[in-house]
Amino acid sequence: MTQLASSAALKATMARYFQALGDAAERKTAPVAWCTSVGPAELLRALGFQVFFPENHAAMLGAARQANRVMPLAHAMGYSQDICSYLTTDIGAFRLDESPLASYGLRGVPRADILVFNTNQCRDVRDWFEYYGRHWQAPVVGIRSPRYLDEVREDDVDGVARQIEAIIPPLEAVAGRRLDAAALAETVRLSRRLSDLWGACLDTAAHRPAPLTFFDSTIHMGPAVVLRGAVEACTYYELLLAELEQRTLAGQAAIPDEALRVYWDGMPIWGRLRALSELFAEFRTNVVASTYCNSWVFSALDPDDPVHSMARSSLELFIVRSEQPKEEYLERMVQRYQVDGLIFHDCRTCPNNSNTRYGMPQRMTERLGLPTLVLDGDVNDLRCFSDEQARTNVEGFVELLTDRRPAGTR
Amino acid sequence: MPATEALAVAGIDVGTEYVKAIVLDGDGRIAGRAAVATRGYFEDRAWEALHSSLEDARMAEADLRALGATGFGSGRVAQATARFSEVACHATGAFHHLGHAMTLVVLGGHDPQVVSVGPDGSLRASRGARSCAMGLGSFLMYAARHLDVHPTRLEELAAAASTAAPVSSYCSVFGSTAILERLREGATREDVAMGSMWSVAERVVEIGGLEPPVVAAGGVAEFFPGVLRGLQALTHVEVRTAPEPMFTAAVGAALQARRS
Amino acid sequence: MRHWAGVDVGSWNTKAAVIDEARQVVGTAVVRSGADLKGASERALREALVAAALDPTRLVQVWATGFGRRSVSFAQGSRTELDCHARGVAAYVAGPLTVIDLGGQDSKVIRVGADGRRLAHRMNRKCAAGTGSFLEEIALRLGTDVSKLDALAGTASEDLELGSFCTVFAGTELLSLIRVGKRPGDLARAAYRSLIKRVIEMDVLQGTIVATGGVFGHHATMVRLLEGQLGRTVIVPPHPQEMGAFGAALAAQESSLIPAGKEASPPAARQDEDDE
Repeated sequence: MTQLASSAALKATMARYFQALGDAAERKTAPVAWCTSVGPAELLRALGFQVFFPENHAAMLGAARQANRVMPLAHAMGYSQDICSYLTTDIGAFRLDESPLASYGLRGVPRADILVFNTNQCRDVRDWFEYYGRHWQAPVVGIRSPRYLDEVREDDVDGVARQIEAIIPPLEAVAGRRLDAAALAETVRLSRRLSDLWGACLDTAAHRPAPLTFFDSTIHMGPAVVLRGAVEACTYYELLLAELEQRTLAGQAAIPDEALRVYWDGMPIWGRLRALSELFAEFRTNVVASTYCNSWVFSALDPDDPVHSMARSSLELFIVRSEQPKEEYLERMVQRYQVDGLIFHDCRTCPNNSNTRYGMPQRMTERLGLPTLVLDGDVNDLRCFSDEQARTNVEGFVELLTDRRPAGTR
Repeated sequence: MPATEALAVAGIDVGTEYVKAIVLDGDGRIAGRAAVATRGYFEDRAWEALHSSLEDARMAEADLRALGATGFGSGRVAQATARFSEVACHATGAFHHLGHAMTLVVLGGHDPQVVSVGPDGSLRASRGARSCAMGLGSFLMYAARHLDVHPTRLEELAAAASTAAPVSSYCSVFGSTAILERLREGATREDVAMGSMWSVAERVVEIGGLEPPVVAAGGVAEFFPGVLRGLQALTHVEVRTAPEPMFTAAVGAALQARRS
Repeated sequence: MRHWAGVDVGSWNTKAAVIDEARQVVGTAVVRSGADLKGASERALREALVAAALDPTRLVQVWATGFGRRSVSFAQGSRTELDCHARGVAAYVAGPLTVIDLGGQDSKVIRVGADGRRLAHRMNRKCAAGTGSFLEEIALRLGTDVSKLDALAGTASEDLELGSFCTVFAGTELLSLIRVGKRPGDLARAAYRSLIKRVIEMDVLQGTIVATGGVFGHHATMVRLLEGQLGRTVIVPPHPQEMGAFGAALAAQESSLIPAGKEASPPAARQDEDDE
């Protein structure tokens, strides 16, 4: 696997973001808002907040394989082993006063002036934010989202839009300024631009051979998560897209001699990202696309109708939908990326991001005639993941996919 | 039948892995002790343990004023004059030895407990582990088996470790797969032995409530002190061991029987 | 006559099987895996060759399978145990079929189509429920050796239920039943029944049901109880415990029987035989 040249720019972009956050929290250069990963970030940015995404922070702890060391402290506080391991990792690390942000010069997670959730993904994000709200006596506001939607109906969008409008006054109070309509429109415009660029980057994997892997995408998605509505994110993805398009033109493959293409549904397993990436590469198999990385593509965002379009994009997300639209989505992805099989990660502590528990893999096999694999694991809690079992599972799946290919196609 | 004029008392703790029996003389000093593996034979092994401890104390059943029973199989001790909960007996036993308030970590074969003991020896609160973290003793037995040592030698192996190989698992029993994986990756048996003990310590940390001073009791504390070192390293809290930790509850049962 | 061998390195035991040109098993062996997997694989192969009264030089190829397949340094290729169990069973039984392979640490349900090719598989989640180690724990609790459990269950007369999903809890539940005076034979059978329930809920069982792995091989009561539960016949092929090793030997034979000129495929274990 050859590293993308854009990686240096990615590192610099993320470093600048974290340093600005640190300045805001420690030298009070700007108010700090915490936001859930698919929460109303554009609104916060338009109000001049530096925006911190604790899910990103928890993923960093997971990737650094610190999660299992720190989680027991949160468990001891009564946060169960069965709930979101992002939450228990982050709070455990906070109790130990540890943070990977130290490498960017921060003393720890930036202290929140206000915390803003959207329960469109789960309830755990709110419980997580409430902990910090109590700890710092900071206001916790947010959107209590409808979930499990068959279709995104106008009344649902209106309801969420009203909730977004309702959190503006408390946000203004903390920000110390009024929301400027033009600033919000511009932020939404930039966010949409970023979204389109990120979507275009992911789309390059539809090419054979694909110029990037799911594992690359989980790293390169950083700015798409934390810098929505910021011009520097757009700049970064213009660079990344150019590189990926160049790779595509040159026929350069992320996995040399790509033999199989598979799809990943569910959360990444942060502490095993590299190991899994190497495992698939060993079998000349590219995990070309994922539900996860595509979740930060908000195509509904519209600068002419910022609040409503924010509401709509928060409801159109895969995770907010019922089984039927999810299955239709997966079918579109399978066709777009021409995959040989689907892998579903059953993430032990994240039921809402595990599409394995109501028979979907079996239905997808029936619907598409493609083999599916269920991989047991967790986003952060590595006690729920077995390296040996995962290897056998993946290798067995690759054998199966290879045997299915008509002779002479390789 | 226990004699009313006798001064000695005995306590018997019928655990899932071992039956422990203790004889206290009239001054409350330990006069005899015995431990035998349970293996599902509660009645027989309880009798065996009691009589071995009496033999150790050079006494007979007739010399006992009372016999207190505790533990998973306490109901199968026909001669018992009274029965008490394990947690209460551990608290009484540990307080008898140490005489101060403490957080008592009870590590037996099956169900770990964190027990808060007040300055007067009273039992204040106790918390157990989550369901998938039970079977700590069994897990260590499996670990020993994979490392080709007798369970009592696991500690020796761990003491020579340079680092703890990560062997955590959501399920206690399944943790043994992690042991095999680490060995196959080339981790030393010593490091895996230590890692097994640390994984037990992690599950204790999760229970919470480890307010100093922390004292450990139970069979795991007796045979696998490496678990306590792991606990200390993870919490930065000093963990002391109750005297004769395997017999703490048996001592408590004897004392409680004398009072009742 | 040419011969091929397969070595299946499992978490508890390492199995070896030697086959001849007619795909007949001529020798097998089972040894403890322990911590030295390479040593165990060498020992198993040596013993299987002794059983077959065969000189090692007669082996065309040896392939490896099982969780420790990558430790078999002398193997010319490898396949997962998912592949090898399906392959081995398909040599005896026509598809569509479902293989239930119960090992010490893993239980697997493998679905095979009418063409003998694998369709899908399910492995137990990272939990000891539904694996052979459950029986180890139960035997320990009953104060017996796991090898005597089947005979013990044969003496059962009372139907008891173990309600616990979890190995650790089932162990405790068992002790509670002992405490109230239940008989070991009844408890052993209850343990088998509990294990079967865990396994059959892993996947839909379609076609002919075939049981493989050491647990079914050594615990005939399990097979009978499984048949009772499913209401149909369960096939136990010859050498159920060595089925993975047999499948690996078949894979070895298949790879060396591909047409001349194509044999130059790299011996790399994990690369599939792709030479186009």
